[in-house]
Amino acid sequence: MNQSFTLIEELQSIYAANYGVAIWITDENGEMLLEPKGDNSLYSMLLRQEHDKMHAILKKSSQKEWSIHLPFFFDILPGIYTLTSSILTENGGKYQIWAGMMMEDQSQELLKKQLEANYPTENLDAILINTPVLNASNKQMWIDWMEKFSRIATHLFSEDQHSFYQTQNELFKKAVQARHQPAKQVLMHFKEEYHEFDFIGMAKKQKDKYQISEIAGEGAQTLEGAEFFPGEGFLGRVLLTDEFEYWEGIDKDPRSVFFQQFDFHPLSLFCAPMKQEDGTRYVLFGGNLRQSDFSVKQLKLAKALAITAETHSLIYTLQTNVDHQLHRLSALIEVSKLMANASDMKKVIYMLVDIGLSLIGGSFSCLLLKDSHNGKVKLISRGKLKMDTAEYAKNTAGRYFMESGETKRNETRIFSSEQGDHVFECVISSREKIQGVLCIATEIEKEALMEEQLKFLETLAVIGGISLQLTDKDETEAEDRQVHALYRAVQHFNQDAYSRAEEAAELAANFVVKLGINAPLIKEIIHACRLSYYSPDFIGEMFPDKKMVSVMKEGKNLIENNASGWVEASVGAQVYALVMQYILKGSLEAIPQAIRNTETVIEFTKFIDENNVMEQEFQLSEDVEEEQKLQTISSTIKEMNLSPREQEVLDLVIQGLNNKEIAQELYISGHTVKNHVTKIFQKLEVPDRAHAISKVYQLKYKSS
Amino acid sequence: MTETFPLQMECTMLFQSNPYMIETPEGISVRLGRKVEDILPVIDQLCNQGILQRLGDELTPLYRYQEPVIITNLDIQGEAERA
Repeated sequence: MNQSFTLIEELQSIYAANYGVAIWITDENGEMLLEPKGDNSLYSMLLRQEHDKMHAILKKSSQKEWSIHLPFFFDILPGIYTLTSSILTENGGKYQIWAGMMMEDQSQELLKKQLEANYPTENLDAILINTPVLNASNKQMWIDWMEKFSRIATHLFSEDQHSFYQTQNELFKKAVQARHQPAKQVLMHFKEEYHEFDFIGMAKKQKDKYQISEIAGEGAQTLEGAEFFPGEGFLGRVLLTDEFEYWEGIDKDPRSVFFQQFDFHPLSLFCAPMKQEDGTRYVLFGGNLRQSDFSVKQLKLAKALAITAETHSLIYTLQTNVDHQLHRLSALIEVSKLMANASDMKKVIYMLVDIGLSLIGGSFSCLLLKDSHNGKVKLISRGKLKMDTAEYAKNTAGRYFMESGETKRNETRIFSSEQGDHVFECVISSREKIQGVLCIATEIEKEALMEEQLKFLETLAVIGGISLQLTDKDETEAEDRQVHALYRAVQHFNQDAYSRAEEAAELAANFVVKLGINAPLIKEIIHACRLSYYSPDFIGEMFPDKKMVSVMKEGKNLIENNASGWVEASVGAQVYALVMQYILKGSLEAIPQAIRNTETVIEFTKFIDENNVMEQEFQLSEDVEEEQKLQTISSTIKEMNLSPREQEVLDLVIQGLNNKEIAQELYISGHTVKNHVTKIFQKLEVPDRAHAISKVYQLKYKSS
Repeated sequence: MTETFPLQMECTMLFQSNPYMIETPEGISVRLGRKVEDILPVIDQLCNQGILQRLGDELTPLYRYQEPVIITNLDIQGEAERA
């Protein structure tokens, strides 16, 4: 006998002695589980005289499904009562507690007569005087103690479930250990280890239907791949009710046709609906082929298995996610390495387009890039969309490059076309300016997967943005070197032209600042002036798609056609035309009358008048033969009497960043930036940003 | 992301770096130091995506990199005029 039972017997004895009754416990079949304890003369007499009858009555009463579970008085024989209570333990055990015998108040005489008739030899007076009497005032007290006794006994009986918990623990342990294995392994293990069910299976959603994806059990393999709709048969039913259900003796149930068509004939079946982490539902089911009903223990185990399988599914998903994350991280490291080693912008662009496509596994990818130098939009694409690809590219470029740059800057969107395309659009930005958009079509509509791909694409876009910026910087420096080489070459075969170009570049550098032109365009105008000896067509070949080419072409047209089309011409071309003409003729007289009242010309005239005295400085320097080094803006700044931090700030001022942007770039406060900028102005002896930029360019072109 | 992604990347990079290379699956496997049977599904995928182009006949297929389509100056209204 186990420890719980010993404790319950102890309890029986104490309560029995205290209340003068005998207490005994029967099981769900009415068999004596714990023998009577306590001394009750009436009970002893009845047991002695009517053993078989008493046993039959008790057995019948125990097997009966009482409609009430609270303690109640039960007249075991006319006028003789027992107090009884049924208890249900956590593992499904059913027991009946009995306490007796008692009699009703004022029924002593009648009872005595009745008993005398049956048992004339018994000393009934002595028996009845020791029998507890029930009256209106003490009945509640009897019920209360029986309720307490039942509760304590329930707890003690429940402790006996150790073996069941052990089974559950085993299951969980296996589920955790099998975190790398799919659900089928756990089912197989359960089937082989516990022999509780003849078959166990699982059905998962496949499009609109559900399909039996895993099945273990003798002869059950025929069910693999069987399909059903939610609501159809036993398995489909639980998808509607969303509750654990079981059926016994199902061989004659019309719903068992589903199994019979696969020559499978279960007698009992349980089904448990389950949910995966991503919200998808599936059904766990099992049952027996030779046993038409389930024991309480089996049902408990079935529920435990369902919970275990659900837990396993979660652990398995988490483990798979962790593996995927690691996988993704390794892939990102690879991508980063490749990007870092990419030697030119073209390679980075191709990598973004191709890796994006491989990553999503779709049929279309493209990269839209906006050239910061000339504003042109470049499209690099692979594959096709259901909608017109060119139309999509135009639409996307319009949405990202024409929209106000401040809004939706780094927001990744999913574009859906009427034709059914879904395209991820990741912004590639640098210094908070949109450089491009990486667009990859996807065919996956599952939200969780889309989310996963989107995150990876965003990271790819960030890496791509940095790589593009780096290669752009490299290419810009290379371009500066090329311009410088071409410019210096002129000196060797046409000294005059070289001098003119140099003068023009310096004059333009000083003048454009007055016009408030942005730094990239200033550079293009200065480059145009320095390369003015060459034909615009040749420069166009050398530097395709560069703004300086259009500046030269347009500017040359203005000079040759007596400023015809002046108003429509770009400001860069106007500056180029004015500067080149002035340098060539040496006076403002060359400017056609028709345009003398236009804004740029008025500014230029004013500028020349103000700086007339400085013209002397435009003379060719004496030491042209001396080895010259290529000056970059950064190296020019370094030569100024500024602190390292001020140099950094000035560099960013020249790139056109405002105080707020500089603060973000250097991770310092706006106030500190303001202080630095003020000090820079003081040191350079300039009143504002425009003059500071001008000063740097002046120094750069003087020294290069 | 599929498990073949790293190999897909390796293969793409090989062809990107050698845009004029025409190679057999065996040649690709030697260059990447990977098994041919691992390479084949990746090549198929890259062909389906248009990254690689299949040349030669079925028995002796050859592959080469297919450059993406490039439009250098996409016409979006007003954009070309902006400085």
